[in-house]
Amino acid sequence: MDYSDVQLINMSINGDTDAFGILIERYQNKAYAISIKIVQNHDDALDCVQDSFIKAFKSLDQFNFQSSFNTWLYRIVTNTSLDLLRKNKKYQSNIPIEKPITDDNDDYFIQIEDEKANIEDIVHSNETVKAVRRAINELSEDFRKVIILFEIEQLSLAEVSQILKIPVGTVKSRLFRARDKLASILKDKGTFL
Amino acid sequence: MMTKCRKCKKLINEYLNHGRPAEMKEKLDMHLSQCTSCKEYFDSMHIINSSLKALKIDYNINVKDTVLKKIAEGNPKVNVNKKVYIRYAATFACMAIVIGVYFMTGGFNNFKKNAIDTSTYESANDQTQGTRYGIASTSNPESDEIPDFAPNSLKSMEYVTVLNYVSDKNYEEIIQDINIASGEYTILELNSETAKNEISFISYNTDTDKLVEKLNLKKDTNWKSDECTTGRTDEYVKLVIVYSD
Repeated sequence: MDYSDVQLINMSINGDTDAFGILIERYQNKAYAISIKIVQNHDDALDCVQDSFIKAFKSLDQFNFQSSFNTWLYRIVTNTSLDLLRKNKKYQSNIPIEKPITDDNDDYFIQIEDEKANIEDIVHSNETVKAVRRAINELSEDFRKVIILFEIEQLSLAEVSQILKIPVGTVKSRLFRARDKLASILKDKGTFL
Repeated sequence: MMTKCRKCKKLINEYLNHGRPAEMKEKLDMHLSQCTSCKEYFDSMHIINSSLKALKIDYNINVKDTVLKKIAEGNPKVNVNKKVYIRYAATFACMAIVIGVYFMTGGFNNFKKNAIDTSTYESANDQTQGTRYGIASTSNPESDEIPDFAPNSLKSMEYVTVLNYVSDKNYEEIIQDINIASGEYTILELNSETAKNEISFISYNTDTDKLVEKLNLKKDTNWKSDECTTGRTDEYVKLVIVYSD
């Protein structure tokens, strides 16, 4: 039987950890995708995802069902990742976020969608993508969050709004300014003529 | 490169926000064909947008077992029960704080005052000697016992030195003065027996002189004065004040 998130949450609240396991399976990859773009370190991202799920489990009875479970979880992931980032001050990581990472035990593996690489000629340059990725690291925390959640993870404006607990209008204005800032950074770096 | 055509910039951002729909692109193209700076801005935004989308990676991780193991180890059951225990603990803590504050701030004294209003004083000595050593009775005139809720310091105080004073003030005035003094000094077991024009209370022996001065009391010459009062080691003394009508 395919349970809904709400059903699984209620079962989890009643102590059914298997139900919570299903929720983990549903959202762990997206949670990891968000976390690794913030902390830019595989081990830290894994820790953040694990901690986030444990925090979510502990706080399930506080979940008010007014937002969807995934946006609530992604908010925890975002905040946990930012907390770790601040704590470790690993803003300048040398690990490329698009680099596939594998594990000896094959517990996890990361794939790049092939079709995502098929972009227009000007963007096809891996250098441009790398430059954009580096530019993201120079953005302020608020701008980075909206860029990661909306542009990279392709969540909806409403979802980003719920995750960051800011109005949709604020999400839009931050996106506007974040894109402007990215363009400015790239121009300064000589990426754009 | 940065265009000053703010309206167009907004439109470009809306176009990006809505997943680059074709119908919006058509509207944009009309303007972009006429505005070079907006075209440059659009191109840069397009590159950034496409590059950002290229950064999206589909991951496949498995943290389920680790998370569930940690939950099982550290949190066998996180649910309402835990919340209920926390509520019980919080309620208990609040009650303990309230009770503690009540006793520490002298609230107990007022409670005792009310309790003692109907009590009697049992003298253990000949009152004509001026100094009475007696049992400071509490709520039960038939009993010498200090109630269980009394502080330990009072429980140990069975016999106190009694000092007798007179005051020119009437009942209301002397009560008012005592109330004011209670802000500065410890006043215990205030007992106002209006029928006898007598007010009594217990205080620290060391505060006696200051209280006498504060309340403008005079030694009651009808009673033999206790010369040794201030030198006594008793922690408490009982002041009995006879006031005017």
